[in-house]
Amino acid sequence: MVDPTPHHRFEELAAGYVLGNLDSEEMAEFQQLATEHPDLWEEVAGLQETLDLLPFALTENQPKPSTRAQMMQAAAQATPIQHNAHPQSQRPWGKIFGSIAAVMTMALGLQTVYFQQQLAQVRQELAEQKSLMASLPSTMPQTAPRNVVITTTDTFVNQNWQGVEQILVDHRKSLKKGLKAVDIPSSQPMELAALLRAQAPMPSAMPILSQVSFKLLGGSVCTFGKAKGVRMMYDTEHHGQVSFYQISRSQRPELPQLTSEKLYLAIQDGPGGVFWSDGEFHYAIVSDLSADELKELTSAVEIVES
Amino acid sequence: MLLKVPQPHPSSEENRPIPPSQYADTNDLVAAIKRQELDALGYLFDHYSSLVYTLAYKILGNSPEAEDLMQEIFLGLWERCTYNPSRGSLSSFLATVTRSRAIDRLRMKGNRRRIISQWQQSLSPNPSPTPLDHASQSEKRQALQQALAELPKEYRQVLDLSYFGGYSQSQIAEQLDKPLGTVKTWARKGLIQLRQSLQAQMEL
Repeated sequence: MVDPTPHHRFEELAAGYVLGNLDSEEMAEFQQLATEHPDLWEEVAGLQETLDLLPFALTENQPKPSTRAQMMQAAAQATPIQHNAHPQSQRPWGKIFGSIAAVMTMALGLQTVYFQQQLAQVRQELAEQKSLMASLPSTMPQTAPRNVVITTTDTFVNQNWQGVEQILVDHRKSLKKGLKAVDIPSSQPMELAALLRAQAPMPSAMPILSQVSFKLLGGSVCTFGKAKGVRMMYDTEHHGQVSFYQISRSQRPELPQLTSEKLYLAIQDGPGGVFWSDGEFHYAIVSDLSADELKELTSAVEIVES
Repeated sequence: MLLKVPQPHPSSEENRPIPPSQYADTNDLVAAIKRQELDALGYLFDHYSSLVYTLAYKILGNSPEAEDLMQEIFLGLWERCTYNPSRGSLSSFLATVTRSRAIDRLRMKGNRRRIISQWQQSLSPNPSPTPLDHASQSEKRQALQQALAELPKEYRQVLDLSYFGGYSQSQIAEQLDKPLGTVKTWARKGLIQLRQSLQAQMEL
């Protein structure tokens, strides 16, 4: 079968991806092509490699000779940082979730009816919010959409949104692994985005959690069904470990119909999450927090251009 | 196809004699740093400080800040070596980390001290001859500079502003007073042509 995609289009999209300048339609096209033609990643890697060569074209400057001695002295005095597994990783998730699953199985019969009603209500609310947003005068800022909160259970999520369940499971696994769940350790968002970009789709305007007390631990590439994404792990002073996902849009796995409105899923006795989408990517922040705490957390989301 | 451009060797080679390496390869060097062997840090600095400093200086625009960032990067590797040799060369890793942190610093300050016009010559070919006694390093730089020189000026300028300046494409469009679509196209074509030109040189 003849490939209908001209090579120059392939190349142009790959270049735009490497440069981080694809618009949302182009990003969707890129993701579609990358799914159908995995060799697009080779094109991306070649162009990324070319871009990474630019520093070597610069005419050299030398630092002051004294900087070497200063650095060696500082290194000799520095105490190596010990990186133990995060205390959160000690949480007995398996036991807790096993118990929850047992209780939920018994209660499922009654709850299914209730949650289906709740789901219908949420869908109605989402539709009303979209209608409300559409009716707003264009001069009004549309940057503060209303939030939707659903209190539900792990079982309900599993039955309805496998994608959400997969994200929650991934978060739990990362808690267990602690720092070992971080493939690329880095505390610098830009640096991390640059290192992850050649391996997975990354939005050009990237949301990050920016609060002084939040420490970025690093990131990893992860795959949910056909969707590729990255997980950024943060350590928060008061709320433990937080996983921040950026996942390319895909039909699979199934997620709620996300918009820029933030959907808070408060899951009984388990980690909760906030989910939204910007048209190019799905985003999820998962942690062991209440909906109110999650709202406080998402107020720290800041967009940076990567 | 990936470029078969050899990764540049540490750039300090041009200014000081390199002692015979006590490290078999980068894995060996990284392992020594993880064992907290100060000699390994010294070796790393001697071989890569010029690359890190040059790039930091280019982005930050002044020597004290560039030196500060350079120290931060080397001490960071000393305290917690995050480099994984299976993911690419050490020089590319250091270049990526340096660029990202330098641009993070610029953004944190919200201070873009340099204006566009000052960037216009920065990726232009260097007219001064490269010392012949460092042919390997200079050949690589010449190959890149030649490939850049073959690009239309607009392409080169947009790549320069985007890569070293950390400007978004819309900021570049605004400052150059050109449509956003034009700026995006220039950047993409510039990158594609640069790759093609380097590939052609490697095939000669």
